[in-house]
Amino acid sequence: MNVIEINNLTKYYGKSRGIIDVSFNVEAGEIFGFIGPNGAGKSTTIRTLLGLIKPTSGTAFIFGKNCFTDGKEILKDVGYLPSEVFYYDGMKVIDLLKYSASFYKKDCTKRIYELAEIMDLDLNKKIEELSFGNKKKVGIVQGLLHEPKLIILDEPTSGLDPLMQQKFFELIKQENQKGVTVLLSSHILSEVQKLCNRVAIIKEGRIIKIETIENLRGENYKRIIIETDTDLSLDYFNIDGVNDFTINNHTYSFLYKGDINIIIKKLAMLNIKNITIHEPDLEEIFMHYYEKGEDA
Amino acid sequence: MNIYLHELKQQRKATLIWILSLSILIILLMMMYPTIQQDAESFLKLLENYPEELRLALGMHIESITSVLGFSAFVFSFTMLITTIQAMIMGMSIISKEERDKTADFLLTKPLSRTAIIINKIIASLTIFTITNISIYLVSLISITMFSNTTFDLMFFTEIFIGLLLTQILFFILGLFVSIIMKKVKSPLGVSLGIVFLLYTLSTILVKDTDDIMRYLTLYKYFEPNFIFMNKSLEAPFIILGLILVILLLTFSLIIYNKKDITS
Repeated sequence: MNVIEINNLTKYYGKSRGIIDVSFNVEAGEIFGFIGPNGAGKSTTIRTLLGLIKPTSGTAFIFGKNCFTDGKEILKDVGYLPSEVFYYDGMKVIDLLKYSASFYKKDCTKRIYELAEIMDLDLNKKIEELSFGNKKKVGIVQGLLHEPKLIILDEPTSGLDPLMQQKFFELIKQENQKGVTVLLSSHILSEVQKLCNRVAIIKEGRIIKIETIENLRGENYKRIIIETDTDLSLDYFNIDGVNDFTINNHTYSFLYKGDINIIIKKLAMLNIKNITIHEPDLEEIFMHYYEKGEDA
Repeated sequence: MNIYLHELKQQRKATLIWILSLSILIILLMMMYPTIQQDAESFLKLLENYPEELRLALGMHIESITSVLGFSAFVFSFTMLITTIQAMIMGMSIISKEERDKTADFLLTKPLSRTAIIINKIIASLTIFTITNISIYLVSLISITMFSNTTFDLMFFTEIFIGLLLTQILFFILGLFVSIIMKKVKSPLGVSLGIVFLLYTLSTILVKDTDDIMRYLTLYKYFEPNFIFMNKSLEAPFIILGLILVILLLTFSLIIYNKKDITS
């Protein structure tokens, strides 16, 4: 079953691009990563799902309900953590959380205290006295206190120290084990790598790849770096499967995907001083998608 | 209900300040009344030396200013200027502040419709106006009884305050509408003061009599205290016109707000 279903979602702000033809599904119980650099359209997609922004065209469904007409029903079971959290100054943390809880028809008091304990959050402070990181913690508690079935996180870890990030990831994993679906947007690959089952990569408003983390890594890319004494002809490595080719003096570096035998034969014909072949990390694959775009 | 209570709590301090300053203004002006009453003749002579436009701008009508109700009408046309500023600022900021302070992400991702949010906030604002008006109504009644020894018609006095409240509602809805059609409201105070003073000035220059055609356009004189004094009551056509305006502006505001993009 799909918890989120997005079909050809497009949003233009006047003439400037927001997102173009975005389509992907998030299945029940998965942690879905949504990666791309700033300005690629991650927040636009999320804000459209939440009904904050009205799309130019396309459809979106959460729990099988239409995001643009049934927002009220959908939002009962959605927890949202925006990338930057802002709350009413002059309110105490506990008052804000109680105000937030008052919108859901259930008693959230116990959960508020549990979450505050986990996130090490002082409930009696005034919001304007909090640091950026602590405001973020309020956002996390606020997004989870009504025990939502879908959690949408927009760049959740910015501002949190490593220890808190760890605790936060634990919390999200626990929720996920209870059956909660998570959509997590980020530009930090390592956090997506740690948490997610599948990712969608977005670039300049378009989805360029949807893949499981395993496959992304297991696509058998190799990073090959060789050092030689002499200059090589620039065309020498101009064969299928070679990407991201760089030359630095006599050091040649590239990503290779394809039949290993072919590249080994090629390499065997050279006089090589030094060679390294390793599995690229996600970061490298990601950068590679970004430079090459859709033909990757 | 929770938005309503939250809004009242948020506005508590500001409302208290409005009520306090209005009360002080009313008491100070009313304190002048015994002197004016005693020296009515010389006061009128003094007034006659002022240009008519200035007198009208200040809401001073020679025929009535020395009577207790006429003088109150003068005091309340001042009061009206201030209460409309209060109303306009509230209308302009009640929805736009959520976007400006970036709390819209919090409020609009809660399970309720945008219409419900606006309606709740409007009811909270109406409560605040009612509280403001009842408070200054009582302050005025007390200060009039203290500073004048003549009796007066309580019914007429009450109608002036109903007029104040109606004018406030009119300006509140106008402010709400303006804030929603504007893309981003950086300074609700500036825009409010601008619009209020513009309409106020236009109304004092253009509307000299109760049947002036410009009266329909400037909003200001629908329920003006001096006019209520002249007519001895509120005027039904203007109540109906005001109501139609409120319904129209509110409907447009709701339609536009429901379609609006909330950007971060």
